Amino acid sequence: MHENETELIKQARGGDRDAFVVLVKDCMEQVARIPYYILGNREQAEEVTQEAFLKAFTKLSQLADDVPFKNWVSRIAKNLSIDILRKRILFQKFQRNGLSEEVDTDKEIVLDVRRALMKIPVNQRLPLTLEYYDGLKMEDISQITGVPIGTIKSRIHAAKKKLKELLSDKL
Amino acid sequence: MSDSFDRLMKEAEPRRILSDGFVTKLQKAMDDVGRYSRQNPLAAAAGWSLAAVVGGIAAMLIVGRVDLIPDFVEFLLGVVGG
Repeated sequence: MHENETELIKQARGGDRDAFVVLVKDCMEQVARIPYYILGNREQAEEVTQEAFLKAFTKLSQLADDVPFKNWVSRIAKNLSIDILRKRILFQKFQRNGLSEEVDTDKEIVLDVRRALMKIPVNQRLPLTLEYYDGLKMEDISQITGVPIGTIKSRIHAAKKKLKELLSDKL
Repeated sequence: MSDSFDRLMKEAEPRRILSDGFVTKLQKAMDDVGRYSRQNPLAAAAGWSLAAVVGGIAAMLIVGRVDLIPDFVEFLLGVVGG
């Protein structure tokens, strides 16, 4: 959390856009990973991230004092991503061509892992990636996903098991 | 097996996701939102009014007082009609 987060939120609520931008810059890459993990596509992840921050900007008064800004926006991004997934039935589409279109690597093994990740149900994939790649605590994952910690642990366990099965010939 | 699994996972970690112009685009979108609200106060008020009406009807449905809806509608028509 930014050391002056409470003060910045107060200023942003009062209409200070610069204060809001400081909050954004502090967590935007981490927030962008949520739609990326769910949708598996960078362009879409960026669009969702922008929408999430815009929504946060207009509804900043609804942010509870005990919830970090990053977790709150991440949850907005997660909900927007799930909506997209449902509406466009993107799950099947991205299973076929989402992560395989990645341009940040040409390593086949990396693509294999990402394709395998996209075959795992989103409610298991998100907690697993948040733990593995973002190193988030269970409490933070719970705040972002809106799911109890016990359920998250069992979903991560199930996700690892499935992933190991899918990647068994690579391990 | 767990070590090789962890190594594979780490290797597949995504790098930077957002493009360089993300903050600039966001600031422009924030300006657009602000401008729209300032230019369309009537639309914003209409939006809130509609939300209040829908909320009122939903509340009656939730508490099981469907019988109050005609009176509510009549009241609204009275307000709108002056």
